[in-house]
Amino acid sequence: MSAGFAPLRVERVLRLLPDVDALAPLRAVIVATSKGRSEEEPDRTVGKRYVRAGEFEELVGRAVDRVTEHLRALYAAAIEALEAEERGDASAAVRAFLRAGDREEAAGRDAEARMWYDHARRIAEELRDRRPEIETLHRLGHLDAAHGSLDRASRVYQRSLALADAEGDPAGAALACEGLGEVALIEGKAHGAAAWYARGRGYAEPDRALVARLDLGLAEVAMISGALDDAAAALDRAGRVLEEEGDCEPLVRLLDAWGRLETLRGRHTDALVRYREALARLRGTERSPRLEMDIRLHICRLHLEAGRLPVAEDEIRRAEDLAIVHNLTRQLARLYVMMGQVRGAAGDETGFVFFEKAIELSRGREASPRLEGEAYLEYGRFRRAFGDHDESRAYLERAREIFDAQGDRPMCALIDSELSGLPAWHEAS
Amino acid sequence: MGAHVNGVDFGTPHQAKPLRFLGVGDDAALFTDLARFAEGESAVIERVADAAAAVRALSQTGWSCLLVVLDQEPDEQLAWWVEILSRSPRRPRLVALLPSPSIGFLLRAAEHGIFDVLATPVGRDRFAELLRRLRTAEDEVAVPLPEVKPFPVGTSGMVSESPAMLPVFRTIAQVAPSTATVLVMGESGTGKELVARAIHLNGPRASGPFVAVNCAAIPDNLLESELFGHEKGAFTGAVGRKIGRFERANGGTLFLDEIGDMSLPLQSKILRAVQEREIERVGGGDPIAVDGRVIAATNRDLKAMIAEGRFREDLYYRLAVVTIRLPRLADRGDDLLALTSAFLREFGQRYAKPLTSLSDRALGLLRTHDWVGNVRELRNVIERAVLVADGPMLRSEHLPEEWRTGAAPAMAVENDHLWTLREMEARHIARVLDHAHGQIGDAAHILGVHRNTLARKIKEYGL
Repeated sequence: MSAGFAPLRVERVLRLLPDVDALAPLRAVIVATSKGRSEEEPDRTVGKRYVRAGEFEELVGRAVDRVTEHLRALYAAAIEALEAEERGDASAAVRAFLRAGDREEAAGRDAEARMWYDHARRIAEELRDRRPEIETLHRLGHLDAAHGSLDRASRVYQRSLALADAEGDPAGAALACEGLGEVALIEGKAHGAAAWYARGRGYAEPDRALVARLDLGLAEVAMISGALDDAAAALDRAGRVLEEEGDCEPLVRLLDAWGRLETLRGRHTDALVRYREALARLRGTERSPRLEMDIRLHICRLHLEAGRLPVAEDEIRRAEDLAIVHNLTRQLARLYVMMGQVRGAAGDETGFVFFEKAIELSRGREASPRLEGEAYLEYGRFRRAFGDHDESRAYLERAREIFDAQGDRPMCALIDSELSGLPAWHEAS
Repeated sequence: MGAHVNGVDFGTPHQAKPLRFLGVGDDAALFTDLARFAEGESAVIERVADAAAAVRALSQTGWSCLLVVLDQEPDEQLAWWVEILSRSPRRPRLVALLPSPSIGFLLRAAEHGIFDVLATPVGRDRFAELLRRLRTAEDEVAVPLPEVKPFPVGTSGMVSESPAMLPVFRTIAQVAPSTATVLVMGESGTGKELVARAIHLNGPRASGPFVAVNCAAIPDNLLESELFGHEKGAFTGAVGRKIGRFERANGGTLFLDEIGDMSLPLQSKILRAVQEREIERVGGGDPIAVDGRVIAATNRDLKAMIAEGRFREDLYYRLAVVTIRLPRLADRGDDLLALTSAFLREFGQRYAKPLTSLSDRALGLLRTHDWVGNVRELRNVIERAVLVADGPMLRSEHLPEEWRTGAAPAMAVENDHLWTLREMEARHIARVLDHAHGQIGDAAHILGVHRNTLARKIKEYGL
């Protein structure tokens, strides 16, 4: 009986297994099923949780099932592309490759998704019909924006817009404008974002669902500008259309936006109802782990801001499992930053481990400098709250370096003001 | 008020407090039947078609019970509903409806704290039994909170009226004035850090810092630099110089919690720091003198670890100059009520909820719970309960869902109900499987049957 041996620590197991691509699902399953987080030992970090080698047989089966399902979908897309080529329909081949990329993206394998999209783009560039290229550029722009490569995302969307304009493809142009609006939002350029969404609305006019998506963008702009009534009006407009259309994902995004708006209005109970409804709607469809994670992150943020720290921690733990199982590295890093904030708010200095973990993840295979910068910024604030001014300064300066390299002036200005609030080196030491 | 479906009244008024049901599912005929059964029973049944609508409806309070029709993947659906309800401000009880639930499903439902599982179609008698159980469960009587005077320890306090804690208080009083190294032993959550803090605050270094490190909560690769500090650039990510906890505890006390979780190489470094009273920062060449009292704690059997070669014997004897052993919460008698009262007042104040009593059922659940996490678990449970409480009395519904198996599915809970042989067998197999961590081979060995026989029974009972 395997019970005769002491269980293995997760950190030992992960060190023992080579960091090869084929084992990634097994690593995720091991972390997700490890034991040790309990009422008895609630503070045990993931690495110090336990697994039993005897249970691996079952885990291997589950991991292999996941890999097989994933590979089957990729092979099906590849075969579909070959069949399309055989009948001389290269546009269909591009779309099959895009589907494969979508599949990789959903599995949290963004680097592999990019390879499929890049390949699709090379084929699409040869075609007389430019719409497959426009679709490809949307995928690439979205991926770049999500990774914080905003300049590149912007260039990709601009090309997509130019092509769509030339092709007389208003839907493609509207989507490009939506992407450009999203990039401007991330950069904190509210006016620019509003202009792009408004321009997109012009292209999208006959397509009500597309107009509603752009209204969602306008609501985001209004929220970051503090114009909460305008945001509510835009969400109302979008909601009327999306409820009628009944398409699940945009509706879930709408509810998520409502949740954030209600949070900004200080109506926490209403916000929670919106978030819960969003999760309930997601449940009835093919699961979209990334979207679910976004909503869960917002729920965690809500509880954190309301000072309901135990509830925030429970939510984070649930979301952590989801992120690990679905290999959502960037969201996991965000989650750990928030966990550090929760622990900091509770006066638990050990919370620093979560910032360290977030930084490690943001430098990993799916590196995201912006995320790394955000983690260092919060880490600096965490250390400052505990009176470690030297460490706080070091982390804030590192965050500033990262945002400076990204050309993000507003973030640099924010960090400068935080740094100026710290005692000078000689005072601190 | 009578029973009604979608606003249609079916029944006549009744003296008891009306039970308000929310039905979820698109089987209108099923809920019409249930509403008919509820006629004259002072119950209201409203139905919504899907989970999204149910979530909206749940934002209103006053629901006694949620009747959820489970169709495909009932286990997954059940777990989802449990999660959703855990976020509801006043949690109604959850009843699952599905055709022919397996014994395994009933057992898992009980683990989740589901109030009942009804096999569809539901008969009148079965529904009447549910109503009766719900009414009994809703009836809770207030138990006033006792006055408690904690012994102050810094900003918090130690609460105890138990003789089991007397040796602990006595040793704290004896050892605090010295600078001797102390090893505090006890299960997780028994209050080891509080004891360390009490020693510090009553000792000669009380004006110095009290620096606590939970060695189990810090991954090994970060623990060394956290304890000893590092120089800028010592490794990737060392963006600035860091002062370690040993240095920060100069003139005060360093509390090393869960020391049994430390790796052997790090144990050697700790030994050197305790013995030589000097440390080296990671990436730094010069030794730095440190002067702090060390108090260590563990929930592990360090002597057994020494015998297995997993803990250094010389470090053990350095740390265990004086030892204090903390009792489990279960061995502290009525401290449970005193601690509950103290935590209710503390969190009631923090979250602006003036709780003045605890219900008899809630107290019963607290008393019968197996407190593996000891006082910390109790504290966490009370904090979460206070967050969801909405009146002056803490009720059983505010406690974790999975405890409310008073509660267990009607499969076998009635006092006069005798289990069938099949039910007994299924329960026993589930218990053994749990003990064997799901390993069929091991479980078959314990049960003395062939693994194929066990596999067949697991399938048969849906375990």
